[in-house]
Amino acid sequence: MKPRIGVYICHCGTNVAATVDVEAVTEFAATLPGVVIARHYTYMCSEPGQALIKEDARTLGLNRVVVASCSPRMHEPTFRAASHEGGVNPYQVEMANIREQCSWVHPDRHEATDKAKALVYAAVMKAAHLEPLEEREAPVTPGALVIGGGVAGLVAALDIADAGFPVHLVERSDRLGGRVAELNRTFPDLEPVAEWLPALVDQVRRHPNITVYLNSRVTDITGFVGNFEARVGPIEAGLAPAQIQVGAIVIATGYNVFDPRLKPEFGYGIYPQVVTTLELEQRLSSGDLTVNGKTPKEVVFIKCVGSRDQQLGRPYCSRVCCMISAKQAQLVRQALPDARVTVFYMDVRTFGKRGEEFYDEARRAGVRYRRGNVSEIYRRGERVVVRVEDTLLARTVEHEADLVVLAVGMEPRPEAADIAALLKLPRSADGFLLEAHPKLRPVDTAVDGVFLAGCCQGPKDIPDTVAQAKAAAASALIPLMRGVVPMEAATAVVDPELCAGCGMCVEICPYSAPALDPLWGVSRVNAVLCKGCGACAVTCPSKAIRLQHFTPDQILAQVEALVGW
Amino acid sequence: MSDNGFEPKIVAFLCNWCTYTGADLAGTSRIQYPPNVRIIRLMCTGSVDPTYVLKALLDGADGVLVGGCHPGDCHYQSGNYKARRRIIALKEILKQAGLEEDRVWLRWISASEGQRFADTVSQMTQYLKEKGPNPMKKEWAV
Amino acid sequence: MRARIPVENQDMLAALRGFLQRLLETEVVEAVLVPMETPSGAVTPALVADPALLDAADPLAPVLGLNAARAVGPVTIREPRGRIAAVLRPCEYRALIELVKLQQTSLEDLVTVVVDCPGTYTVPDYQKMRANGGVDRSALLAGMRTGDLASQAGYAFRDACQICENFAAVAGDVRIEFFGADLSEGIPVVLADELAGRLGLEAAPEDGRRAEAVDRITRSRIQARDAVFAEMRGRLEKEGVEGVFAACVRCHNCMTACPICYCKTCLFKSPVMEHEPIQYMAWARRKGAYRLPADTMLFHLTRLNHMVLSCIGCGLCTDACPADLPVGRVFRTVGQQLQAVFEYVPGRSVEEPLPLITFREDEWLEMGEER
Repeated sequence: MKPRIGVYICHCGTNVAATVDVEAVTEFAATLPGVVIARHYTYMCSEPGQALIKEDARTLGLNRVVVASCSPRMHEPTFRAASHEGGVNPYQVEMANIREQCSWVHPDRHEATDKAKALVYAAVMKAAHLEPLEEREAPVTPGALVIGGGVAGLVAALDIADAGFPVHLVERSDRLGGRVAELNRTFPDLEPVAEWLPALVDQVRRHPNITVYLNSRVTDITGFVGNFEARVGPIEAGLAPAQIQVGAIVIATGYNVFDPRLKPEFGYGIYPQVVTTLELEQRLSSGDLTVNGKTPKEVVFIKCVGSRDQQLGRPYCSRVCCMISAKQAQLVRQALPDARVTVFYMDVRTFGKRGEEFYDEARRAGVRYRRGNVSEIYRRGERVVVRVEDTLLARTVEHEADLVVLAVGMEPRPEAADIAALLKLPRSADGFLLEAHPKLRPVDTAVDGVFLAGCCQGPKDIPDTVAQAKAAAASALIPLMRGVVPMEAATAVVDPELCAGCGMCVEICPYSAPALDPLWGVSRVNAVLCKGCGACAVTCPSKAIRLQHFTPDQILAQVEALVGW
Repeated sequence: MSDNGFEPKIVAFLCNWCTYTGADLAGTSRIQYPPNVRIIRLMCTGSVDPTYVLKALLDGADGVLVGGCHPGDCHYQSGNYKARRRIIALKEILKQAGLEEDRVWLRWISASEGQRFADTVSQMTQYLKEKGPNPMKKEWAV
Repeated sequence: MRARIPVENQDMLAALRGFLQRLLETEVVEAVLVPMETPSGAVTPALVADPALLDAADPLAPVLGLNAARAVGPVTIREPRGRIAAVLRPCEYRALIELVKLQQTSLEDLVTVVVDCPGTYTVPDYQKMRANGGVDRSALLAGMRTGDLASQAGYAFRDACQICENFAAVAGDVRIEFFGADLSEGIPVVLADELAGRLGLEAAPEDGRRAEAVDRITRSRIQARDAVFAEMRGRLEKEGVEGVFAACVRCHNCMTACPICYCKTCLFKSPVMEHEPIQYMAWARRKGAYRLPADTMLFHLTRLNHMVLSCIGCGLCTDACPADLPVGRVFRTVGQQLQAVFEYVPGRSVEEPLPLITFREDEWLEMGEER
């Protein structure tokens, strides 16, 4: 269709108009090829401003709209919607950023006006080449896959199942409950885990919508949001794998604890006096705290073992060890009222609800906190000596102990890397799975329809894990409950007449969106998988594949305008 | 304004997620820089086709700036790594073909580096002013 | 293993034909793709299924009018297909490897027979030679034995061959080795034991002079090549690509002749590069004049950009140019630099990915971070 373009120059109050001669730009725009109407207005994003576009679009039969105003990152959706209401395809709207990239940064009125003209010219040139695009939707398979049967996985599975969707819960081990099942009591309430975890597990086991796969792992995942297909293989050979179809996936593979043998100077695994916080949990459960048959009189906790350690490649804080130490120190004080309990720390980070109070309670209960870096542990008779650099007194002290508890940090499970590889999920430098955005999309991943819950994303305590699990479940429910997923409109498309089937677009796409059609030997794009990055289009020498909305003719038209003006 | 009055024209291909947003930040922060740069927004540096850069240069642009996310930060996982190879190849071809490869700049500028964007444009403008106009501006037989 | 193709009466051509016929008769393959002499004396690749017709096969004809890798593509690209053997020069084999990476051809059901190449003449020169006393093949074979290769008096090898340093068969399922060979004992051939067994060939010792002959020619070719590179660099620096290609008539013959240029329709013949009439006026006004057809240098620079990394130096682009432009020289000169940047050797191995569709995170780390 022959372009009939409306151009709208926004004053943005005085934000643009004070620097850019909007009238001159409007007059200039009116002379550009294809432009039917050019106007300027105080606030194009206001109701009357949008009404101008709608009205012109209807009465003048516009088929393209150019708005010169703020960044498209700000108001492109606004003007797309307004144009759409006026009968213009929302993808035939182009913006010229004459505020952020012109009036706000170029104080000279003549220069700013001149550049604004160039930007409007380029936008008009691009607009003339814009094609109408359609926003389409794909159906969603109702159901979710939850990988990991710890607290995060249990909670996520339960929420999704309670919303009425089938859930496949896959757990590597032979039981549900994960790491929390290994704990005795939780901070800051000292509540026994046995009082709530078995009930949660039971709820999951009895839920009619949840299928539990124990001793199993996910060996293959294909597809995309709304339509994933996963293979669940039993870890024991001989049993047949299950093939399941789901619309969303929650990853809750949890964590491993740091292996303190990687710090040989602490003598873990050599001296029976040295244990980890996780091992102490079991001893606290059984009530047997003796070492070599004797009741300890001196108990030492060492924090940040395998956390905040650049040399070990674990620069991060594991977030729970301070509270675990405070909890266990109190429990040890209760169990062994005659024992002296000392905590050696770099910093005390008992943040969160009731955290600081809990730390105070530990100190009031007689737990001694001493700032210091432990350099080594060695044997002396029946005891061990903890050698500490007291960082407040700046001197080295030797502290004899009958029991030394290493507050070991969390680290990513190796299985998470396998899942990441299956789904092409990025991981952060520390190896934990990476969220899509640290603030706004904390449970989403780079792959649509795949969500993170619990410590697979980074160390966290049980309340945070449960909160994240519920968030992941809620996010997974969005496509499941909608029943359809929106497809990116500005996707890549292939002209089969031009495609020579070289497959370079297939090679370069990080999302496996293009694939070679085995019958015709040409590439085809799965629009649901395409994120619209355009990497494929560059590799294609004949431009048989092109990214819609950013096609070569559109971009070359912009280049021509910007160089030509 | 430079002494000789030559104002270079710079066409910038910026990725939507990092450098374009960085340029927006320079705007919202009111960081001034020369008006010589004109921006084309693309989704990713991985979609900057060397043909666009060549076209701009042969048409007479004095400089071409390609701006994207720092390595590791690509919104599309790896577009900037692919762009890096392509721009290296392009610059080598320009150099070998007797064209001025130093008119093409690749810079990683994040969404939070408004100042770096402004500084880059200032530097590039100054560099091109000293270098002089692109001879292709007057070259009709290309 | 290394074996020898038996030769009778010093007739190398008959021996090679016999070898190819053996491939058919033993049903190793169902057809052989090989240069054939037409009844009118031209040489062209053909797919030969009838062993009797292999009497017209001429794998030693020192002429290259098209890169046979291009001919292999259509007959191998998809199933169902026949099992074939393709007789190729080293530059054709390298092009084939690049085309495999570009999925324009397949090595499945294919036996590649790569023959040592002394150098070739252009089609017009070859025809002239035939019309004026013939082609002295024995001189070429003698030169391959000693490493003293010279073109026939009054003629020169093709421009690309004069600077080709990759003329020896170093890869392929079957390698036919003339360099340094004492042919009285037969033609040396390297092939898999199993294939040799099927063809009834027995292991034969290496006669040890091959490396010497190859080395000798390589040195002189590299000398010639580097002189061309230096001259070309000087010209490009001085005149620019727009100067070197100034006489281009935009026939796109270089693109058509190029074995690597695989697009169905070149971008420069597609609507993307069509402009509005008013656009031409804008350009003419802006620059004072505007060369037509438009985008000639953009065409050459884009072609460089698209395929110089895969340029295997067959030089057919040069032969195809009606304006006698040194297209191949430019591509080889630029290609040498660019291939070195990416440590890429086109045509060496299908395992080496095309440089521009792969990357490493930890490379060129300073690039883009300049302050």
